[in-house]
Parts: sequence; structure tokens; C-alpha cells
Amino acid sequence: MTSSRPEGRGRGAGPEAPSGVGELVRSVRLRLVRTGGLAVLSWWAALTCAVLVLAWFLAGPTGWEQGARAPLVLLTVLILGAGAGAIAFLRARTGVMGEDSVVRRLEESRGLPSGLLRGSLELTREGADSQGVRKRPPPSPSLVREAERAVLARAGAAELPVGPLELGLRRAARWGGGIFSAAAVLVLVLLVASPDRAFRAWSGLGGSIQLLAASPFPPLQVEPGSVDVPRGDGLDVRVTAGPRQQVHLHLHRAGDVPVTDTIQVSQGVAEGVIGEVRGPLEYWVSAPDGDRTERFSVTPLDPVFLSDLRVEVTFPPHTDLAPEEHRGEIPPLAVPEGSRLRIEGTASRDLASAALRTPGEEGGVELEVSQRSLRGEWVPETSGRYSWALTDDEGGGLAPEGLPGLDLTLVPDSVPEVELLYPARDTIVPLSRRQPLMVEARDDFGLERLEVVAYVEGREGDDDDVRTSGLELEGTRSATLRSVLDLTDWDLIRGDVVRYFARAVDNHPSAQESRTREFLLRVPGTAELGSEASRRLQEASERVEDLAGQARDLEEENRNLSRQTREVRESSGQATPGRGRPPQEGADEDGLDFGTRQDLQRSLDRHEGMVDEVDELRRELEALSQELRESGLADPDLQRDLRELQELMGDLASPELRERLGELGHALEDGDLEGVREALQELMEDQSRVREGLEESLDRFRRAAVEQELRATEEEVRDLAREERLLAQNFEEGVDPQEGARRQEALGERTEALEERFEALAERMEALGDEQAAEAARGSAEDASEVRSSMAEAGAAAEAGDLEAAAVGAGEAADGLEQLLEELQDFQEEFAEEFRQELQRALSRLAHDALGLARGQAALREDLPPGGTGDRDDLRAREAAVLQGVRNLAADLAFSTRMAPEVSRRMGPAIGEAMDAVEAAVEAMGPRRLAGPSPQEATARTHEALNRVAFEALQRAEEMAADGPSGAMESLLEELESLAQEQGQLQQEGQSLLPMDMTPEALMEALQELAQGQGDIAGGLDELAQRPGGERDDVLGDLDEFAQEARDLAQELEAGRLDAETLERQERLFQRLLDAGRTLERDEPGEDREGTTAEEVERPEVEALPPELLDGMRFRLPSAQELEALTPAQRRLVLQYFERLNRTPAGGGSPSGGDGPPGGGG
Amino acid sequence: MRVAGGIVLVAGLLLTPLQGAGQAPPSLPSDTTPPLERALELLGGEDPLEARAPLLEAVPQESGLRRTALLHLVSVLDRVEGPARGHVARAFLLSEEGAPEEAHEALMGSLDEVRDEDRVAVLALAAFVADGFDPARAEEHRSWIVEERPEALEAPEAALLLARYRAPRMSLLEETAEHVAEVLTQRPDHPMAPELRRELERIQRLLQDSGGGR
Repeated sequence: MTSSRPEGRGRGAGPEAPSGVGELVRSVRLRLVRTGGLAVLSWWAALTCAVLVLAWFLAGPTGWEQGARAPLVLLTVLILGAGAGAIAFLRARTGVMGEDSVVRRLEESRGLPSGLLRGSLELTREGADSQGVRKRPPPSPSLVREAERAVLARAGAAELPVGPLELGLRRAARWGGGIFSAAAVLVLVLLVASPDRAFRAWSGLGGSIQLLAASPFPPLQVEPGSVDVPRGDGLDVRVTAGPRQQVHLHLHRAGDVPVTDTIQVSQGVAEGVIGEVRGPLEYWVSAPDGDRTERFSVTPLDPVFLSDLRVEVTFPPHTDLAPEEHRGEIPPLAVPEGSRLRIEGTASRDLASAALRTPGEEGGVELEVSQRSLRGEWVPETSGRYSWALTDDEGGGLAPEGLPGLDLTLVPDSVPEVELLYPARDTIVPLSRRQPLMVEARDDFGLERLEVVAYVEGREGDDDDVRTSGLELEGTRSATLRSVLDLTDWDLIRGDVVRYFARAVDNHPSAQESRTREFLLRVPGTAELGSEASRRLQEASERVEDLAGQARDLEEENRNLSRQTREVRESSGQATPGRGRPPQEGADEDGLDFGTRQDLQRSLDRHEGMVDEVDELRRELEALSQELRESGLADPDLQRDLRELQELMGDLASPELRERLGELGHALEDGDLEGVREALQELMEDQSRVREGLEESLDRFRRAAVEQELRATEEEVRDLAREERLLAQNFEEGVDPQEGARRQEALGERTEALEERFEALAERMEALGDEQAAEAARGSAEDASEVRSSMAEAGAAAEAGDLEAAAVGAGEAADGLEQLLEELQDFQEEFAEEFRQELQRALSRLAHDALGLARGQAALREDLPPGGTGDRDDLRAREAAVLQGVRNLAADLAFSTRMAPEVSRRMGPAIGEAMDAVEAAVEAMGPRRLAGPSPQEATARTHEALNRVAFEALQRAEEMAADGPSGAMESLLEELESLAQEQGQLQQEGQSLLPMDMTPEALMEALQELAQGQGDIAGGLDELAQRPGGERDDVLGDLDEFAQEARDLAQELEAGRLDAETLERQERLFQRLLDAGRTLERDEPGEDREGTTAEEVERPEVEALPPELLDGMRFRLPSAQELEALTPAQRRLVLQYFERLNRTPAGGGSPSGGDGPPGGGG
Repeated sequence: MRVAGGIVLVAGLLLTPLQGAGQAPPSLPSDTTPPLERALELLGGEDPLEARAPLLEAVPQESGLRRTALLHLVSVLDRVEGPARGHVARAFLLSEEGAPEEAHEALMGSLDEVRDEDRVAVLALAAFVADGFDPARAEEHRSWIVEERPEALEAPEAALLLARYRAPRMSLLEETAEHVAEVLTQRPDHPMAPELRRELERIQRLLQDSGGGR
């Protein structure tokens, strides 16, 4: 029997009963297989989604790294899941979903007797095997069918579930589907959220095997990573890519498609640029090898504006600086340390914080913020460029627009600077023992003190001997201290060294201090003092030379001006006022054009300047003279030289010349052309006299300097000889050879300097025209050179330890120096004697020439026609020639006595008188006159006048032969000065003995020498006291008393008493001798009184007395009683003093510059 | 001639007796103590220069030519040395005694003894002495001076006196002009140079007037 399958009914129809049991079983099985397959499939799909989700998370944003194993594991899980599902399905299909299992489950689920359904099913298959081959005879079909129907009826519909199995499968399928759906949604979400990441993660699953292999390249590194940049700025990206050749820079701007730029790698680095950042963006970098960086974000920062920014700077109090305020853009600030900054401002939006920070965040200040405003106070401690650090409420950094930050430089308070401007070097104590100092100090914010500290070397331990003087400056920023270091009461002795330095303290709270180095002031010896005097004289001579040059120029200038003025006068016709031609074009009413007036004024100024300079030179000489006296260097010759030079300078800068200049100035101011012309003419004459005087004095200055240098050199040679002799003795006594060699070397250096001095002397003598003396000086230089050779030998021997040879060498050197000293003394005497003789010869010649002229006058007088009749023209011409002859005589006198101006001055009146007399004689021989002397009388006077010139010349010559140009008083004073000088030296030697550590024997020997010297001084004073003549009465003090004091001192010294009291007595005596030497400030050589017979005189119109004379004396003279209390000499000094005071013009001027008594004389 | 007369007067200065000094000249200081005797005594002594001071002291008591003579003596004593001083002093004393010729002889006799540099001064003094009794001798001495020692101190005055002596006599004018010119060349700024120039011009005029010589 063939079973028919109601396939048509079974398909497409609703639940319908199966057509047979077989049909039922098949239907149920099919349904179960489908449900089971669906469950397996849904669970596998859910597993797949889970793997994908897991991969998304595990891969991370940058995707799988090379070598990662996780993708393979996930893939394996997926495959295993699939395999397990398939196996389970297949087994279930033959197992729990097999026919027997299904039939049984049907029977169970339908409540059918076990086997019923099986049997029915078997019945339908009786007779045919599975291939339809009949094996036994089939049952009756109807029965079969009937049985089937019964079974089917009992089994119910095929759709009915087949028990828990089908329900479990359906549940599994539902759960699998639900989980799959959820996972699929999650996958979709991830895909949507980050497609690249999903792609990288899931694609890695596919290439999991490939990922297992390690990457050959290092990972990509990107700078700067995620950053905030000002909106609109670009960004440079730097990728460290290792050996890769290129990388890709991916850029994804918000709202835009990603773009990729390929960058070539150079030396392991690729550099890309991200253009203007207008909005947020991401970038990342990938490499062809699959490496890829994370995504970095770039956030644009919007600027914030700060308005009303104000920085107020308050400076530390010691700076004394006013507070400063800066607004808006703050310039670079350089402020003193300790300054306080107060910062205020307003931002364009609300702020969360505000600060000023250095790049390293090491310093700065946090400011208080309140909404938009910020403020804070800050005392910065470090310099630097501080940037604004602003954040808003969201914590985002804000870049302040247009504010470059704060460029701050803290200026530390510098230590004060102090500098010694004068003398600025180690030097010797000046002659006056008052050292002028000039110290300059400055500080950035102010000085508190500036002072000079001085002490004597070796005595610095005693506070009393450290002296400080200075200024309290109270914050001055710079100061110059002009001070005088007064050493007069320091009890200094030769060889002492005064050390001093300047110190400045600033006003900083810590009182910062700085000081100069220590400078030295050495107390000079006599030789050095003399050299100093010589140097200053030499300088003075150079100034005189310069002044003479100026005078020449001025003379020439005056001549030109005089010519111009004359031309102007002639052209303007001022000589005949009112009738002259009108002034030239461009000229003033007075006829002087502007240029000429300017020239005149300039010339006048130069004149005044020159006269001032001459006067200043005079004062300097006066000061030098004073200093020399006070220092004990009262060399009479030098003092005389200086005195003469002062007088000469005083004459050149005479009140008359100043008066002349004043007249010219007034005439210029008044526009008085005639006055200008006359004043100019007179000025020219004065100028000529000044020039001649300067030129004539030049040699005198040079000579004085040379003479002084000779004296100083003599002292130096004497010192050297003494020290060299002492050294020779020390060598003999066994001094330390090295010490001896050192001393010898020092002496050698001094001798070398001596050679140079001789050479310089030779040149200066050549300049004086004394070739012979120059040659002698060169000879002395050679002698000094030989001495130095001996010293060198002695020094070498001492170095070698051969003291015997050293003593011999030093002895020879000492001999040489002593010989040189003698030669020098002789040379000085010869030099002076030659000068004296030359002057004598000149005076003798002058006398001879004057006598010749006198004889000529006598002869002319004899030749005069008797009774005043006859032609006298010829005789008048002869007299005129005599007049010229007298002028020649005067010129000869001036030239011959240029080195001895005092002689010239004393001869001057006689020459002047002779000139006047000759002029009168010339006039007397002119046309017949009613008044005036007759020619006979005039020639007789001329004769006498010329006789007097000769007489004066011979008198002066006699004085020169005696002892220079001085008289007895002069001689007395000079000897007093000389004794004072000796006393001063004696005192200094005594002082120098005190600190020396001498044996009693040596000290006594030295004291005996001092006593001897003191005794000599006493003898000298005795001699002066007993000298005949009245000069001693004019000396301040009693010479007898001086002599007695000197004797007493000599006795003290002889008895070995040398203490402070003895030294003080010596000092007192020295001062009194100095005072005595100054007693008579050398009266001007007065003219002898003369009586003259009455004669016709011109009666000049008597002018009114100047008003100032009518005012009486400005300074009342002391009364007679007051004057009586004084000695005659003191009286005279006092009266002279008052006279000079009263002569001084009320408006000022030099006391010595007054005119003589108006209307006086005669 | 007036000029010649003048020369005679000057030449006789040293012969003028010094005693009987007149009143003190008004322009010089006077001293009531006459030092002249002491001076004359010292002039005869071993060192005539010791008479210098008293001679100068005596000067104010004299006047005019006598004063000039004393000063001249001092001047010469200052300038000469050694034996010349003694001879000059002796000549002065002889003149004082009224023996000018002996004085002249004494001076001339000393020329061989005195230093060469003193010879001109002695000779010039001798010329002055000779002026008083033998002007031709004086001319001779001066001529030697200007010819042989035109640079000497005494040359200008000698030349002047020589020119003034010779000009009136029209003797040796051309030679004299040369000597004067030579002296002027040597001492152009000498006090007597202006007078010498005058005399030179005068001689040259005389030479022109006389047709170039005498």
C-alpha cells in the first residue's frame, strides 16, 4: 500500500489535522527542528554582537595595536560558538528531535498510551520498508486507516506543542532573538558613535592573525597633543615617526568632513600645520603600517579684554621716588627692589581667576577677582616677563587680547660709587702740609655720608690717630667733597706715611658702603720739597711764556683795532663834531660799526682775562712762598726769587692797567669814539709794557726754577751720599746680604733718577743760554752714572753674599756722591757768582754809558750860545739825539737786568728822571719861551740826572758785589730765614730720632750732633744780635732772647734730653724765627728825598676830590694808645695793613691793587 | 769851534780840583761828613778799590763835572783789575795834585803791565787826561781805540769825540767816517749811537761839500 501525503492540505492550510500519524510526527519534528535552529542561530548572532561590542571596547580609540591577541581570542570564541551551536543542533535533530523521541514526547504530551502512536506509525509502514519494499503482508488499509484516525483523534492537532522540549526551544529562540536584538542595537550604536573605531576594532578581528605579528615601527608620537589655541591661530603638529617615510595627518573640523594630509618624514620627524583654528577640531596621525594615534582635540580660545588696567608702583622709602602710575599698556618696568605694585583692572567677561605668572610658574602674583574686576598688591621678588593667566567660570584659560604681560626688571640698590678725583694718586705731602682733596660720590638712590678717613701708617691701632671728616648728605644722589686734609698738627716726621681713603655710605636700610683704595701721602724730605718748588716754578715759567704769547697777540690785535678806530674816526669826522660826515653805513651814531665794536669788546675781555691770569700767577707765587716757609724750606735765595717774581707780576697786573681797561670799557659803553681811541692808545702802551715785562721775566722764572732745582738736587745728592755711606758701614758690620742688596738697588734707582735730573737741568740751562753750565750738568750726569755703576757692583756683590766687596763698592759710590755733592755746591756757587758778575758788568757798563752821556751834556752846555741868543737848532738836534740815547740806555738796562727786576726797579726812577730832564732840555732849546728853565739850566739838570743814573748803577753794582741786591736789613732777614730753616731741619731730625730704636750710645751720639747744630744756630743768632745798625730793632722779637733759647736747647740736647717738651720748644723757636724773618715784608725801595729849587711849574686844573675820599677811611686806624702797645715793627705792619685795606676799592679787588694816594707824592 | 771847546772842557775834567766842593746837588742824598780825604788816602793804598765806597760817599757832595769825574773813576776802578787799578789810582792822584802830564805818562807807562782787556779803559782815561794839555795825543789814543777796538765799551764815546775833534779841522774825515760807521755797526743800540749817527751825517756832508775828502 502506498501512503499518500496530504501535502496539499498540510501546507498552506491552517491548523488542520494531519492526514496521518506519519504526517503528524513529521510536522511536529519539522517544527521542532525549525524552532531549535532558530534558537541556535539567534544565540550565535547574539554572541557575534557581543564579540563585536567587546572588540570595540578592547581595541580602544586607536584600534588594535600590532601584536594584540585579543582579536584572535574573540574570533575563536565566535567560531567555537558557531561550531558548538551547529553540533548541538545536529545532535538534537537526531536526538531529542528524532522520530522516536518526538513520537514518545507526542504520546506523553497528548496523553496517549505509550506505544500507541508508535504502533500506528508502524502500521502505516507495514509491508514496506523504508524503501517501500514490502516485507510482510500489510494490514488492512482500512484498519490502518481506522487506527490512524483513532490515534489522530486522540493525538489532537499537530500544532499542539510537544511538551517541555518544544516550549524550551521556543523560549531559547525567543531569548536568543531578544539578546541578539539588543546586542545588535548596541553594535549599531557603537558603529554610529565611532565608525572609525568600530571599523578599526572589527577589522582587526578579521586580521587578527596579522595583528599577532609585532610592529616593526615605534608608535607614533604627536606634539602638542590636545591644546587650546587662540582662535584664529594655526597649530604646528610635530610627529615623531621613527623610520617611517610618511604619515597621515587627519583633521576633522566640527561639522566638516575629515581631511587627511600626507606628510613626509624627515629624519624621523614629520611636521604638519593645522591652519587657522576657528572652531573645535580633532586631529590624529596614522601611518601606513597601521599605527595610528589617538584623536587630539584643538579648542579655540576666545580673547578676553582687560580694560582700565592700572599699575601703581610705590618705591621703597629710601629711594625718595614719587609713586608712579601706569595705565593701559604697561611699559617695561624697571623698579628698585622692594617696590610695591598695586594692580587693578577690569576684564571683558567674568573671571574665575587672574594671575601674573612667569613661564616657569615660579613666581608671580594671584590677583583677587570679583566678577569682571581684578586687583592685587604685590612686591615682586624676581625679574622676568610675567604673563597674564586668566580663567573664566568654566575653568578655561583666557588669552588677554592686546596685553603683552608685564615686563618687570627689579633693579637692585647698587652700592655707592666713590672716587678720589684729586690728587688721585699716591703723592707727597704738600709743602703746606694741607692736602687738597676732591672726592666724588654718587649713588642710585642717595648718599647718607661721604667722608675721608686718614691715619698715619703704623698708628692705625690708636683710635685717636684715625681721623675722619666728611659730610652728611641726607640722600643727595651725587656729591663732590672738596676738602683739605690738614696735617699741620699731626706731628709728622720725614718718612711718615699718611694713608687715607674716601668712604661713601648710601641711604639704603642696610647702609651699603663703598670706599676707594687707600692712597698714600708721604712726608717728603727736604730734597723732595725742593723739587716740588722747582716743579711749580717751572710750571709758572711755562705759564709766563704762554702769557707772553698772548700779550704779543693782543698787542698786534690792539694795533689793528687802533688803526680801525682811527679810520672810523677820520671817515666819520668825529674830530670836528657837528661838521663831520655822517656815519658810515651800518655804523652807530658814534661811528663804530658793530664788527669793530665787537672786536673791541673781545679784545677788552681778553685783556682782562690776561691781567687776571697774571694776578693769579702772582697769588700762586705768594702761596708757594708761604708754603715753603711753613714747611721749613725757607731758602733765602728762593724766597728772594719768589718775592721778586711776585712783585714783577704785581707790576704787570697793575691797577693802572686795570684802570685803562675800565676806561676803554666805559668809552665803548658810552660810544665815545675819541675816548675809545685814546684809551686804546694808552692800553697799547701798557700792553707793550706788559709784554716786555713778561718776556723779560721769563728768563727770570726759568732761572729761579733752575736754581731751585739745583738746590733740590744738592739735597738729594746729600741724602744719597749719607745713605750710601751708611749702607757701606752696614755692609762692613755684616748686614743681611739680601736686605743690603735691596737697599742698594733702591739707592741705585734714586741715582738713576738723579742722572735724569741732571740731564733735564742741562736742557733747562741750555734754554737759558748758559752752555757752560749745561755742559757741567751733563758732566754731573756722567758722574752720577759712574756712581750708579759702583752701586750696581756693590749690589751684585751683596747678592752673591760677598759683603766685603759690597762694602768696597758702596764706599766707592759714597765717595763718588760726596764728590758730586762738592762739585754741585761749587757749580751752584759759580752759577750764582757768574750771574752776579754778569749783572755787575752790566751795571758798570750802564754807569759808563751814562757818564759818557753826562759828559756830552756838559760839552753841549758849553757849546750853548751865551745869553740865550743865536741859532740853537743844531744843539737842539744834538739834545734830541741824547734823548734817544737815554732811551737806548733804558732799553739796555731793562734787558741787562731782566733777571734781576729789583735792580731794574731801583734804577727806574733815575732813568725816568734823566729822560724827563733830556726832554725838558730839548724843549728848552726850542723856540723862545717865557716860562720854563733856560737851556743852560735844562742841560745842567740833564747832566746831573745822568750823573745820578751812573751813581745808582754803581751803587747797585756795589750791592751785588757785597751780597746781592739786598741791603743790610735784607741781609739780616735772609740770615734769619736761613737760621729758621736750619732750626726747622734740626727739629725734624730730633723728631725722627724719637721713634727709632737706637742703642743708648748711638742715641747720645746723635743728640750730640743735634746739640752741635743747635749751638751753631745760637751762635748765628748771637752774631745777628750783636750786628751793628738799627735793623735788629725792626725784627719781631728779641734776637738775644732767641739766641738764649737756642743755647738752652743746645744744653738740653747735650745732656741727652730729647723729649716732647724739648721738641715743642724747638718748634716754638722755629716759628718765632720764621715770624722774625717775615717781619719786614721788604719795603719798596723808596726814593730818596730830594730838594729842588723853585721853578716855573705848570698849574694843572685842580679837580674835585673823588667822593669816596670825602667819605673818610672805610676802616678806622687804631688809636695812638693802641699803637703804643706795639713794637715799632708791629706798628708799621698794622698801619700798612690798614692802609692797604683803605686803598682797596669798596667794590672789591685786591688789597694790593689799590692806587697810590690821590694827589700824593711829589 | 764850540764843539772843540766842549771837548777841551771835557778833557780837563780830571784836572779840575776836587777840593772846595760846592753845595750838595739837590737830587742826591747829602752827607755832612766829607769822605773824599779818606778816599784819596785809600787810592794811594795797596788796594785802590777800597776807595770805592768813600768815593761814592763823596759823590753827593760834588756837582757837575766833578761829580762825573768821581763816578768815572769808580767806574774805571770797577772794570779794571790788577795793576791797572793802581795805575789808574795813581794817575788820579797825580791829576789831583795838578800834574796831568805825569798822570798821562803814568797811564801810558802802565799799558805794558795791564791786562789786555784793561788796556782800552786805561787808554781812554789817558785820552781824557791828555785832552787837558795835548789834544793831539788824545786824538791819537782815541784813534787807536776806534781802529783797533771798535767793539770796546769805550769805542763809541771815543769815536764821537774823535769825530767832533776832527770835523772842524777837516782832518782825516773819510777815515773817521769809516771808524764811526764801524762802531755803529758794532753797537747800533748804544746810548751814543744817535749822536754818532748825527756826527757821521755831518762828516759825510762835509766830505760831499769838500768834494770827497780833504
